[in-house]
Amino acid sequence: MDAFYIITVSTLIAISCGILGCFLILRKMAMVGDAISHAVLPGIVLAYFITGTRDSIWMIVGAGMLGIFTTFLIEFFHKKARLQTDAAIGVTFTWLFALGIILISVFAGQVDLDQDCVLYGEIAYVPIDLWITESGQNYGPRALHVSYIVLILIVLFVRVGFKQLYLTTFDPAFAATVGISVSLWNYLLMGAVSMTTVASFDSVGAILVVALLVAPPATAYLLTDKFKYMLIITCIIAVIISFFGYYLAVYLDGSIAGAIVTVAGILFMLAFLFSPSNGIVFKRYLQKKEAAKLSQEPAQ
Amino acid sequence: MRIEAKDPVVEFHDLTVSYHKKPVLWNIDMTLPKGALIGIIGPNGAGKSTLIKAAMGLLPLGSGFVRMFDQPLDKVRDRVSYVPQRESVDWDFPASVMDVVLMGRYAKLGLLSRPRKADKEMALNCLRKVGMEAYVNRQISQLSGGQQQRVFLARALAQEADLYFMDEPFAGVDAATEAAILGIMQEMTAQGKTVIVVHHDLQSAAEFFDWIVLLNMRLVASGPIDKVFNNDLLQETYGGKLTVLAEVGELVKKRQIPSREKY
Amino acid sequence: MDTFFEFFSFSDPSIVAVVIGSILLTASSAVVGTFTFLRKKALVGDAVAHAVLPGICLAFILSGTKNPFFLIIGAFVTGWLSLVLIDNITTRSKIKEDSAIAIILSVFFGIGILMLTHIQHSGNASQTGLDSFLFGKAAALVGKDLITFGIVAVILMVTVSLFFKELKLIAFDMNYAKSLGLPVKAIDLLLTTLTVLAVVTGIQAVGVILMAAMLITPAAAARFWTNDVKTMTIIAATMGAISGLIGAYVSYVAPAMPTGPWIVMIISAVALLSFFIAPKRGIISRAVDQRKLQYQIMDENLLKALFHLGEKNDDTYKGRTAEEIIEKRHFPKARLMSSLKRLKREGFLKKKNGLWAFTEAGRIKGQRVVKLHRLWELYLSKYVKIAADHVHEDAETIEHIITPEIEAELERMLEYPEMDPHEERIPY
Repeated sequence: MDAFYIITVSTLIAISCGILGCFLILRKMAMVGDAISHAVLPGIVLAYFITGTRDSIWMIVGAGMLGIFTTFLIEFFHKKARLQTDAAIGVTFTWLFALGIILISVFAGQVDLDQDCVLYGEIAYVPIDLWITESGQNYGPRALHVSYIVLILIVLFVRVGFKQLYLTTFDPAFAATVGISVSLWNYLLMGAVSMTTVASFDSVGAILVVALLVAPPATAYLLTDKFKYMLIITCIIAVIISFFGYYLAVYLDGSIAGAIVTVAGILFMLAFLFSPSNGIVFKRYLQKKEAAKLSQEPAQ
Repeated sequence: MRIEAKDPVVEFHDLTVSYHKKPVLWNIDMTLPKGALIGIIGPNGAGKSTLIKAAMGLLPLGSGFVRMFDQPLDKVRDRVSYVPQRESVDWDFPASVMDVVLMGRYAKLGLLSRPRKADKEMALNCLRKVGMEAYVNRQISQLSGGQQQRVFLARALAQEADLYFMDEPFAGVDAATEAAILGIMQEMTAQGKTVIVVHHDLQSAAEFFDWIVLLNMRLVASGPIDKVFNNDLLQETYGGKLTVLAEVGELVKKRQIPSREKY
Repeated sequence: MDTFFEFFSFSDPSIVAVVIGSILLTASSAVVGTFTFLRKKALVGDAVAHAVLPGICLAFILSGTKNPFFLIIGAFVTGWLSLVLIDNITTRSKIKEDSAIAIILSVFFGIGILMLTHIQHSGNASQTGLDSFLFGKAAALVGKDLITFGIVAVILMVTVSLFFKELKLIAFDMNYAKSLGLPVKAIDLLLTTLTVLAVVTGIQAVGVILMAAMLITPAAAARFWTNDVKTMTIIAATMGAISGLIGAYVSYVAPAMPTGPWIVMIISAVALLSFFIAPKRGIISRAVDQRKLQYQIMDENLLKALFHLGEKNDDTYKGRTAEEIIEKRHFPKARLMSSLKRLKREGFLKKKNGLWAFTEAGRIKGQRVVKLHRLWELYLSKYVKIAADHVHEDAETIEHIITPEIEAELERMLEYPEMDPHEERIPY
């Protein structure tokens, strides 16, 4: 049963991240996702400290705001201080992340958080951390509830804003000319990324969230050139990596989140090499065939 | 040489546009006629694309304004269509030809509603017009340059607008596509729609357009082709750069001059 | 406070060692970072930093010791591999660079975490301290480790100074460097190698997660102070060194604290300060320039209005009331008064019986603005072919920024014209 809970929670998280990740990588904003996932840390620590609990809706909201603030800060450094984009990203997230780590050290006694948790989460504790109401009713693991609620919210968001997200991703100039606010939808997407990052933080840690945001969608992108299939394949990959990742971690006696990401990396490499449409092995095979055909044709 | 249009659809009034605070277009002032096929011609870096981007509200205006159908753009967005340069988007994007053409219908749909059957039929119709109906379900990554341009045109047609701004639609397309696109444009103008095209090839410009705008950082000429498409004006457009204008432009950028002074 | 003096008196040799170590590590990564920053490859450094973790763990698993030499080799191998992979993924598939960096960064880090937790759970006694690579621990820099990392840091800085010219050129303009016949590939390879080495050494002090900051932030801060690459490198190195020094101090005062975050906080504060207060490029300095420009525009417009008033009856030096001026051209009263006072202070105006009048210098200045305005109007209508009734607005701005060189050029081109397009006399 423990294994089932852990795999389910990680699958739900991976699907939420993957759906948003599909948009992120197509917008060439994967590193902004990386920055947000690091930068929400001080928000999380402060929320822990102030509310004293980890399952506070305020924590998700507060840290989500911090994620949007990060996006804003990157833009500010880029536009107002005229710093090149990559450096603006780098300066912003390292600073906020460092602040978060320092806060953890300072509040070490008061906050149930440590540096390891920041790095790779505590998904192994999911089955122990139960949601029990005051009347003693046991509703099962808390993280399970959090993760499906987040998934529902993400699916709703993407369903409602699909046209706008899709169009602003593909052709922002055209989107602006038909009256869609490109920056509004950008901030909404970043807000959703922040919220998902915060909600997943307990389980996979701040840094490994990035892998779930980027690796499964990128793998799917190599396997198909239809957006709908890209979303579906991302979800399938989420199940696969959660399942195999869990058992790999058990086998090696290591971090579950680390193992899930390792499996995600392996899948990506496989797709990169052997994808029927985009893999480099197949491409080379096609080139060879082409070359052979050319050499057979009589010279003119 | 500036000839006013008799039945103006677009009016540029004293438009100055800066790019990163550097003025690239100075005081563009002209009117363009309804139902004409209009070519915007000029050398590289003359600000041709900038002009239509500014008209579509994609760049902030330094001064002046643009009116279409005697209204500001925001009031008439559904009557105006913009076709960006083909290279401005990533053609590896996971979308089918149909997906892209349907984007032309997005503005007409509400926030929540999805494209309906009628929208799809309409999109298919547009694809038929550009000779791409066989490619409806093809992924855009598999299209040639000319086919990509036709898809963009079909998307614009699906908007059912009255005024079209197209950025270099003839750049890098094959002869067949060129002919097809020109045919469609002529058909559109025959129906009273106005098509404004950024174009870089002088040779073909003479055959394509009814009305010519000659541009090089400033408006050199605007008028019917027989009046303005002559050696003197072309010389003026393509001949020596206005060095003082360019130098002052640099100064404006360096000093970070606010678009218009207050006092 | 005691610890402060204890530390900064540098009487304890172990403190000296830690200080020298931290400074060398942070300064050398800042030096290399300057070039990755200029090459617009800042985030690649982030990927390398995360990617060295599995290398360190693997080296430990294979060798069974924490010998820095093996760890450096292990880190170097996976750091390098990450760059090769990013390059391959971007060139050989439709995955774009940002996604490639993010994938490699997070996946390598995930593998590293898996290995690290595996090692920790296996109960190997000598592994303790391996996780100080995550957030850095300057105080752990002692004895042999210090010598090894110190040597690498010195090698880094020497190499950069030896190949300074070449590195500068490829950072500035790859294609130009190629056209000069420089072995661009080899230099790029050198920079890559230096980056990996800088990361490998820097993580001792800062840790893998925040290492990116040591490459990016000092360079970004230094950029605000200078346009010269050499000066920029030196400033970045100094800023890096200062943060390293303070990091060592924190490590000394609070041994339980990870040093990395503190070093990063300090260098970030320095950077933030630079963004705002640096001369010329800084946000404040640019705002001040804007303010000055506004004053200048206001003052010149006022002198211009005064000159216009004198044109009609040829009584340029006649004293006028503020109301008269406002009637000629509308200025908000408060602004007008402060501008009048400013111009008086600067000797362009004088006040007699409540009336404001030109001094000689003021008349010359006002006349020049009027002249530039009319010259520019003439230029616009004659050369830019803008209708005479549309040139005024533009000239209102340009009259304030025309340099004497352009003024001379305009006079020459327009052959010292007498009249502007509105048939108004151009005063000389």
